[in-house]
Amino acid sequence: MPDFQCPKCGAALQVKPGTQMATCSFCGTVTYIDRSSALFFYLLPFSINEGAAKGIFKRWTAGPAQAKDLESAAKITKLTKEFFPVFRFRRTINGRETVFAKPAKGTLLPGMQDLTIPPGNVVVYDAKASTGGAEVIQPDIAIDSYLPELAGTPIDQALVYFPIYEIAYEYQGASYQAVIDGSSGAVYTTSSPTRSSSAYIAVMGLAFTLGLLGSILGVMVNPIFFVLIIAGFFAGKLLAGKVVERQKPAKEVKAE
Amino acid sequence: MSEAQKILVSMTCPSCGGQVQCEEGEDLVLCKFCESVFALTTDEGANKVMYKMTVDKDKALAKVKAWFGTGPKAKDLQKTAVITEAYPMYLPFWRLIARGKACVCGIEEQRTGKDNQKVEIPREALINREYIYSEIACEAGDLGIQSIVIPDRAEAISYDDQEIVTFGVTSSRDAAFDEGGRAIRKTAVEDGSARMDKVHFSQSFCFPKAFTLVYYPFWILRYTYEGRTYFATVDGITARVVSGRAPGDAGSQSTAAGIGGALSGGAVGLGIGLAIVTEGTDIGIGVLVVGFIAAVALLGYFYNRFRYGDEILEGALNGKGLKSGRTQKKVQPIYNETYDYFK
Repeated sequence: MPDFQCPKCGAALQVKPGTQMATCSFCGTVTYIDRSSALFFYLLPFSINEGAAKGIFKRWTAGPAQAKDLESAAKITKLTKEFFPVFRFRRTINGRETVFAKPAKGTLLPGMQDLTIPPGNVVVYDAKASTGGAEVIQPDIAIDSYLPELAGTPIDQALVYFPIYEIAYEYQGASYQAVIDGSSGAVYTTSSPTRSSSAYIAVMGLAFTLGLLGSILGVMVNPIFFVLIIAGFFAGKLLAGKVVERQKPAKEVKAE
Repeated sequence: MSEAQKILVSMTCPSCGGQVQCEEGEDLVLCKFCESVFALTTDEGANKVMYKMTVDKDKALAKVKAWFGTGPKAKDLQKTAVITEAYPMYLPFWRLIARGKACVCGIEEQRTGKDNQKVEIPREALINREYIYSEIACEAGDLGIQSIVIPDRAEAISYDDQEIVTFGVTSSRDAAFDEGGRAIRKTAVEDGSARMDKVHFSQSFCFPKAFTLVYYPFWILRYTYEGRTYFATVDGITARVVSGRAPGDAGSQSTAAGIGGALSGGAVGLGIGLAIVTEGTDIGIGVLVVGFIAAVALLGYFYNRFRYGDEILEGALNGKGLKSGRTQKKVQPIYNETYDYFK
């Protein structure tokens, strides 16, 4: 993006993303920035490094919805650090400011169809911006393909590059994909190996049955049967312990 | 003139041509040379307020370490978790202060007398309160923060006076304003109908007083536990842990399974047993009904702790896990400005 100059004194003008007024630090002239006809390029820097991204992925694999051995068995086959482009439009439609996003690149990546721009520190993307070695994915859809069809009048429009980690992993011979938002750490997936709830239901069902029998027999036959409720608790706790127990990942053997 | 220069418009007074000073969000400008007043017809923007971060890094770390020991989190979390990074940030929030008024008419049901007869008492409530609505002005992502309460001791600072990372606004001002008005009206009706069992009529209004864009400070901390990366956020003024993810405790998961299963079974069994022994009298059936309701509640509560207790979620976070702690609501009443009327 080109640098701005103060229209009065010609000095370099600092224009911050998302502002409409800029004050020249030399002559004090206030300048209004008419963004309605220009396309601005913004970038959200990474705030999560690769190590933390792997850690977030590992945390996600250990979550209650995922297959129990996913944490120990999932093998990351590819981890790519990249900037993903989305068009963001701010327009006045029927007198109201409306903000929406449109795809700048066709993709099947998990979460990227939602077109949400993650929370982050928005900086101007120009020659000076650091991409930290991440690949900047170029848009394959031109903004011109949207502009004629959009309702209302423009306030501004921007191409926003946001940081993602694209992860490919293998589990039981099948490959899966996940995307981690490099700014806030949100994990996006489409399909992933999940955990069945049946073992959980069975354990609580057993404890329930023992408690039920204990109570019925305790009331009808002999109070001694109330002991079964306590037995139900211990049986439930013991089996539940087996259900939630984690398989510790095999320790890495150090190469001699 | 280059392409870039074409979008810059120098702000000068239309009467005298002198330079004027104006800031983001202002719609009236006074020319200091000729004293003429004129209105700006630019896109409105919003008034910005930024609050000073008063919690230092050590305090944020200490708070998160104390937080490790609360709730059903892994027992060894305090000992083994390693905080890998801690950095301050400002998050943007839309904040609407408005007077919410509601008229609610309905019925309160009461059971009185020996035979427990149901009596319907007509109720009327007029709510007239000040409310504050706030919502995050960017995507929430995986931060677990959706709203804020600004404490009295918060100190407003100039927007430019900071070097801390500031998250950008990505949501619409007008959409937030409308949503705030809707939420305040809804809360006013709910406050009016709090004691009613049936609502026959309700009408609500919202009178906006102030709408600002607030930048509020937080600490975000990332920590590792068994090679996994978790996080927690700390309010930069009150030092409260606002949100976070944490590993659960397998011991409390299995205990939940045992207690929940055995107790709910016992409760239903007691009801069935008594119902049979008393040959279907009111007492037996009563115990059965109460036992059954208790069992459903117990099962639901403890099953959730057992099934999803692997990961503890605090704050407004998505995904599977056991929700713990309290989540800041988007609407808060200001209690000293209420003129309610109940009949």
